[in-house]
Amino acid sequence: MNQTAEEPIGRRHFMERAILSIFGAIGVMLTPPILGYILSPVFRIREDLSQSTRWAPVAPVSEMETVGDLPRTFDVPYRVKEGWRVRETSRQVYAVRKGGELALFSTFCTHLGCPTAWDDAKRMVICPCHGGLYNNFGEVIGGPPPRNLASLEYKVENGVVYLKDPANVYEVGWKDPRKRA
Amino acid sequence: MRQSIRDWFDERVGLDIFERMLQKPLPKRGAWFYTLGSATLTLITLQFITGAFLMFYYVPDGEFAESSIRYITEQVRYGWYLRSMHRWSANLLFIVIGLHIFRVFVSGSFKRPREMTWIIGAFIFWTVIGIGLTGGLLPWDSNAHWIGTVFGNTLSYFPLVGRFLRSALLGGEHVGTLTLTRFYALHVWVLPLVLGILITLHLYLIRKHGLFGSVIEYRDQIRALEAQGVRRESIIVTKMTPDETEPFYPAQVFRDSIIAFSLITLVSLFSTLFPFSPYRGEEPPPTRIIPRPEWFFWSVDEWLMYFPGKLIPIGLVLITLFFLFLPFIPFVERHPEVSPIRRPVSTIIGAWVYLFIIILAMMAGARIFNY
Ligand code: HEM
Ligand code: FES
Repeated sequence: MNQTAEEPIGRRHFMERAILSIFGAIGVMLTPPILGYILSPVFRIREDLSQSTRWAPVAPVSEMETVGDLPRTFDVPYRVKEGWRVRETSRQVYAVRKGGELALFSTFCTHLGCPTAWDDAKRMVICPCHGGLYNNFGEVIGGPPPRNLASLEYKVENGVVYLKDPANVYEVGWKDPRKRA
Repeated sequence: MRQSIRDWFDERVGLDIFERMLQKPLPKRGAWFYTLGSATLTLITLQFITGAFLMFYYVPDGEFAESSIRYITEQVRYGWYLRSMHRWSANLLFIVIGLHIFRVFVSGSFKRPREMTWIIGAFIFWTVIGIGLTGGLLPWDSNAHWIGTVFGNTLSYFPLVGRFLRSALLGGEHVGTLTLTRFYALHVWVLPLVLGILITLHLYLIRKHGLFGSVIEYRDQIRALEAQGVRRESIIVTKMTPDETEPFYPAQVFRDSIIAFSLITLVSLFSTLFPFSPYRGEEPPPTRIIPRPEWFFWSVDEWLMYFPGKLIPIGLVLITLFFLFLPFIPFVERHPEVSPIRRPVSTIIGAWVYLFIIILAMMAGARIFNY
């Protein structure tokens, strides 16, 4: 600590600055790669997303025609590209006839994403997590959910109803990854 | 012979430092309350040990995690026991930490010069919550999946940065392949490493200042301050005389040992009587999945429920502010007294906060189990 006669103030200053700069430089060198590494899945710039299902078959049109104005639940299997893996999984969707038209909507609660279920006795869609309630068209009628259940895009081809982008599970904040790929 | 061995080590390691640490004076009064810190340490140590052994078989992969846990519980000898110890000890840890914080708050031990001890303690608390949260996902059963989902979506409600936070934490918009390895890395290495460093600092500060009360060594400074005309009330100190204190070793170490023994026995007993199976109760059919958070997150879950629709971000920001506020308590609560009776406002507020958290958790419990 003691200032010796041979160690003028300038030299000491220089070393203090140098130490700061050295550690600053180490930080600058290490931070971007680490951050980039951790956040890589957020940006997904280099992912090949063609391996995710684009259109997933839900059910034949003939079966859909039997759906009335109370929602019926369908299991939709699909593939999703996640990092290094293509995962086979499935999700549920509601199908309901609304004004003569078929409508598909998500089973995932718009509050915090829990899986809801249609309750036949109470004639409501009920979320088990915080008691979110929706009517047969997926419109909020009670509880904390901020929005109606997301309605889902579909198409009919060769007598089968297909769900668009099934991997878009939480409509909250989804961006179509293919736009970057 | 023993003396010469001691001297050999003393010369090379410097035993006198440790001996002095063991001799540090502690207040005799309320000494059992001082065992709460070491009780926390006991359980954390148990977590490190049982967790390390779980890693010998556990596989952090979406396809195999559940099977590997099933293998641990059903086939590995004592696997069910170690896993249950890890879970029971984690549960107990939250209770004991809560009590430790309460005792430190009520006895005013966070006041000058122990602000840093408290601040480090608050960081420790955050880290422990993080470890509990990330650990909840590792069983990778349907409940774990929904815990992760609910957590990610909760984050997404933060104004501006919400969606980024969710993606950064989950490794994508939803819980998937990349989520498990992230949570695993955080749970077994990153956060425990941080925790280890923080605990070391915490213990160093405790040894530096002595436990609350044993501040005889500040007496001269106080006299000096008084001589300068500083009012006595604004100098925080307790009236301890040497005969009101005793060395850390052996009396306190003895108490700590008894507590450590009782806690480990309790955890062991619970693990034997109520072991955790790979499946919590019945395996529900897919339509009837009822996500259940760990009880130590119940109060947060319940709190967020009271902010429906557009208000969700407000509830989220408020509860975040509550957690962020913890390290600042020593700078807000600056009453010169340490005694809980002579600073009734803080004592009452503190007690209400605890009561509020407990009531919220109980309401959540009633809701979750009645559903
Ligand atoms: C892993 C968690 C923790 C461990 C292992 C731990 C350990 C300890 C130990 C062994 C002591 C001394 C004995 C005692 O007073 O009980 C202590 C004291 C203390 N702890 Fe903790 N602690 C933890 C968490 C916390 C938290 C979350 C806070 C507050 C936010 C906190 C604040 C304090 C303070 C202010 C003291 C000093 C008490 C005094 O000097 O009288 N600690 N801790
Ligand atoms: S997640 Fe459905 S009500 Fe909260």
